Amino acid sequence: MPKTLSPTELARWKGLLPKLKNRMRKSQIYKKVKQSEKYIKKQKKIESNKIAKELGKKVEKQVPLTIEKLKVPDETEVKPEDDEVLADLASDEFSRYFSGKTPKVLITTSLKPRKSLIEFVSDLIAVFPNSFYLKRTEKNISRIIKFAKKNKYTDVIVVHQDKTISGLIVIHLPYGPTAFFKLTNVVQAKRIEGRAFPSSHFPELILNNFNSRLGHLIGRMFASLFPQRPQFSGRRVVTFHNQRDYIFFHHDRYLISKAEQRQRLDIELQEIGPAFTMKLKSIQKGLFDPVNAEYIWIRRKETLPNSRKRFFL
Amino acid sequence: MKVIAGTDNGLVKSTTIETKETKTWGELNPTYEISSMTWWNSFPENDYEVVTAHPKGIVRVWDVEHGIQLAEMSKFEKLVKIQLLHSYKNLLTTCSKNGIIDVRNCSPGNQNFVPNCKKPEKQIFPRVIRFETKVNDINQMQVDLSSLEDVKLALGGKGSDLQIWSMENKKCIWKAKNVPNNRLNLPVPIHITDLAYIPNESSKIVVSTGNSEIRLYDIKAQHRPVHRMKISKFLLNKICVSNCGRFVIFSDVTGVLQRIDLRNYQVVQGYKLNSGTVKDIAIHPTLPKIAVCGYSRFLNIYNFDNPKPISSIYLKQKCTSLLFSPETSLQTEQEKLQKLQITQRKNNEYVATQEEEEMWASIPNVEDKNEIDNINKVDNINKVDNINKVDNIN
Repeated sequence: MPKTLSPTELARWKGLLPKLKNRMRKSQIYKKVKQSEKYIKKQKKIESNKIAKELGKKVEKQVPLTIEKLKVPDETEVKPEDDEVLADLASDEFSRYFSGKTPKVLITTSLKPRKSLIEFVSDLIAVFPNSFYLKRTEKNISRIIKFAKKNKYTDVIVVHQDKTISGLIVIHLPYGPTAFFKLTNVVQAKRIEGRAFPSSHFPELILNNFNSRLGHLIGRMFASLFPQRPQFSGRRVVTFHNQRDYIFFHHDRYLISKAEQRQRLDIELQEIGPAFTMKLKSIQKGLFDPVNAEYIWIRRKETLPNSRKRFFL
Repeated sequence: MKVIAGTDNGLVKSTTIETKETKTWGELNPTYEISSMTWWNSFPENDYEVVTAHPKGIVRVWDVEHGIQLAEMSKFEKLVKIQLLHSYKNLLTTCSKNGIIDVRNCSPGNQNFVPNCKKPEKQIFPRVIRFETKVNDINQMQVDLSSLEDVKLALGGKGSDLQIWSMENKKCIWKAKNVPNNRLNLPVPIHITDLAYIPNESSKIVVSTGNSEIRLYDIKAQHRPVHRMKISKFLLNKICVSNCGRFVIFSDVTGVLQRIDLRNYQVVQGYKLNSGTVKDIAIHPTLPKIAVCGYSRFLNIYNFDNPKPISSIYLKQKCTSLLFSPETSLQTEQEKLQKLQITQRKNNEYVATQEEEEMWASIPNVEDKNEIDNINKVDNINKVDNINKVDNIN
């Protein structure tokens, strides 16, 4: 067979491919078909570029289409010229923290935890400054909330295990919303090769892609778990990255170095602690209430639209 | 069509549905949450005055056309939550969460303020009746609008079943009895979230409960509910009855809207919504249209038959109460022309435009009546008969 096929022969061999039973011959023909398709595509591009250069036009690079470009535009996006929405955000339930108050976090688990859960919680205590661990003996979460209110805590986190670490609840005191998340792909700190060790400096925060009104609510909820004055000498970073309604969590230490050959600054990252992905299940308006609650947003089959190109965060 | 909405922050918004314009007025303050609204019908000339009630203990009057706050009444004692205002015979009735019922006289002879003034004045209207019902946690109160002589109220809440009080005697007339026990022989908990009277029948009430049931009560028949329907896992939030008295529309805590026929007791239609609790439903007084708002910050408007909304408007705050104005859609000039043409065609007074005349001129004319009959005839019918005949079978 020749090295590359002409377009008429291409069409003929392509139609015969599903009928061949000889596996060796089939794989040879498949290779030729793929090679010649690539060759024809390249020749077209070269010719069009030649013509464009002769005429004097600019040769533009083509960009591939992804789901982020094809998605349905969101009406609830927060724009910086909107006075009403910004005033609503400034009088929120989280607005007290952005004037200099430090948070105090309580972390608990579900009943009868295993060894892997307790090690995961010890990683989380290194992430949040000013956080404490409580051993779970109570069955009701509403009694834990009463205890936390007496001792002046500001947030409660409950980590849940069902043979694997699978759930997270974040409760904001005294009246604030509760959020339910689903955890997947949990990587504990001791499994990471070449990791760094945590320190007690206050970290910096990075929040990516929380554009809509719902996203602003959740972004402010994460920001109220950390104190508002980062210590830059510690070089510690916590990132929450949102893409297509999945939130990715990382905890790193960074180093800015100057490469001599390129004469520009390079950033190197070394992982400290756990890494996992979260997905929002629902947000309730008041404190934790499994029976009589009112929902700001809930993911349910009967109420969500059926399309691949629609996202809410 | 116009819709007026009250928000969580103390703002009042009015939207026109065809053009999707919204106007807002008021100050942003999260302590001035609005819990209920009604029309202020004491002045028969102006139809655009609205009364709002706040759980802080304050009642305000607004002018919706110009966006001005007219008056503010602030001497409601120690009210935890103001429930419902119904302006009836110039009597404003309010209900608090503790169970205090307060009625004030708002006829134009007793008032001191001037409409369309720019500064709001704090005023007190003379009080007619005040009495205490010892009901602890009230969720909804309704006034019976069909009775003219003896005014009756219906109450219900968490832990307290349906009760009916009369305003003259200040006593409880009728009390409901709880439903029989479970399969496990345990008493069913009492939790009422919303009430509604069926119009033109003053003795039937529809009730939605916390166990996700819908119940029908008949005052003249018995103390227990006449019919019970179980629906879903989550709480039922709000109920609204249509003007003919045949359909009931209810909503869920998660964002589900459905319609029930009262003759069959079956779910007939579902509507598509954004997810989030529904805070208020309103039905137009003459046309079959529904308006819905809630924590999802969207306003949706539906026809009775279609599951998809006619229009959905983005309001930037969470809305807690709705009002539907009684005017029908604006008639633009195009629609008037179209209506004229339709009536002209019926009366054979049709006058064609230039384009239509050219179109009719290009088509060839048919002159004789016989030619029309000849076109429609089928030629060579005999041939068909010849095929079916069989010749010389031997």
